[in-house]
Amino acid sequence: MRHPRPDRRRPRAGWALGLLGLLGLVAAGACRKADPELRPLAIGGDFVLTGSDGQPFDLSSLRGRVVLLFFGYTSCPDVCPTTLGRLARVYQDLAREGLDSGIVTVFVSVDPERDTPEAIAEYLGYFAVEAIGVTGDPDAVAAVAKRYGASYERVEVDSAAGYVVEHSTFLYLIDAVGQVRHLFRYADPPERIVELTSKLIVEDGCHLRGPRKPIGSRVKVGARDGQWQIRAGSPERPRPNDATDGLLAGLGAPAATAVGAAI
Amino acid sequence: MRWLRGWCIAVLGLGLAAACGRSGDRLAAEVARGKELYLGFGCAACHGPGGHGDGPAALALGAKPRDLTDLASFRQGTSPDAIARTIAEGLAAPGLAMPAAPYIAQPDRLAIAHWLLSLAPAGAAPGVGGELRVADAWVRESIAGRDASAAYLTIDNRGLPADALVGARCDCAATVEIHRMVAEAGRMTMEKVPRLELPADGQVALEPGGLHLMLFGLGAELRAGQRVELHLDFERAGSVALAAEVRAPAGKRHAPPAP
Repeated sequence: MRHPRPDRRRPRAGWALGLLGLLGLVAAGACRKADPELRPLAIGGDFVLTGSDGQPFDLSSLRGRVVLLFFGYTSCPDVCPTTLGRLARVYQDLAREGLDSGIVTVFVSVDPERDTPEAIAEYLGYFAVEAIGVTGDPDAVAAVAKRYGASYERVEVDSAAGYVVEHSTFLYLIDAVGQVRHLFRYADPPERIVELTSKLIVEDGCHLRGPRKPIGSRVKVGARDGQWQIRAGSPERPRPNDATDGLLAGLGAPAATAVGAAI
Repeated sequence: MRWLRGWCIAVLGLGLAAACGRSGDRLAAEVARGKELYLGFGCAACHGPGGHGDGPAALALGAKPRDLTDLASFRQGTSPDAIARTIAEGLAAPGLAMPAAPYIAQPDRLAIAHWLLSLAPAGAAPGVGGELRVADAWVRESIAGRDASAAYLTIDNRGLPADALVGARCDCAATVEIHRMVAEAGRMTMEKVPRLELPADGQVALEPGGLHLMLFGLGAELRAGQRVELHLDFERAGSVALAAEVRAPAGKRHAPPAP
């Protein structure tokens, strides 16, 4: 048996390769923590639906940011407003840590018949969260919901609403490479959402991508001087809150005419 | 000292604002913060941007959220604590419930309450659910250099059992006491009234020259046209909050006591 005699360079190359491999493993280990709460789940995935501006919205355009996604509809009496309210609190708490720009919310409407892109954008504008509303063809929405394990059903009711849509209430935590990492329940408090979301934001720093500006974003939330600053609504369209800016000057009586004009 | 101001605004709801600045500025800051929070947490979706109960989500549902600029619509009372509790617990009502919002932190709930109180017409607490009413509440403009002033109002207890006013607070003053003007040996003096009896089915007026609320420790001038928040503590009716306007008084003046 012949033993090939290594030349002078080989051991160094070998060491270098080995070191690189080790570093790679370490880096991969740091980026894919074996945190049982954040283990990738075999649901979800990219999709293309219609965004709030009427243009196609591709979930993969949000790579590099952590995404909180849920299914709902604008006529939802309690679950969706409280989910968005809890998310507003999550944004408030993350802003104190300077982490709020690391996440974006995606709201998928399960009531495409009533929820036009404009209606969804207006609804989301009432909450101080950076949210993208998507809708689409009923079959397309159903296909996406199926992939995410979400269920919904239209139920006729005897009220001016006509019908309600009963829907599952999970809030999906999606990491910066598009994988679903956790399912928040409706009962999970904002603190829990902040806890896991911040872990993911910090973890994803190692993917070496900065936060991307999402398509169709309608709300800007920022932290300035450590204070949570809210500017709900699109800068292009006047929001009801714009009209009330003059309301509190000097704590005078409510300017009912100004509010009426805005609506 | 921006960081100090920010921290102060954040802890205002815990009542630790004494070290942080002038009262009028504190309330104005809380009210402004409360408005931002009201809008940011989506309250306007049902209650409308001005609190009139005309939000689009409500119209879509055919529900009737309250006009929050009418103090009578606060089912559980008008004090900031009562409003904050209602925000946290929600309301169950026939037709539609207001969802509970415990995820709004208590200081933020109180700030929202202060903003809502700032929307109501000044001077009156119409009485929640037929409870006692307050009318014609106003505060005397402060005299330059004086750290005290007075507030006047009418308490309407008609149709209700006997009650008593046992305390009062104002965002504008460090201490509020109930006082009565008394003529004694040819001169007018003031005496503190620890507990003002309100006879059943009656009315009690606090007016210049008689009963009034003394506001001590103003911290800042009170100028005509300003609004302050008055909190009245009743033995039976509980805590009632209302806004009162500062007015320049006409007619007879009396000198406030030396501080």
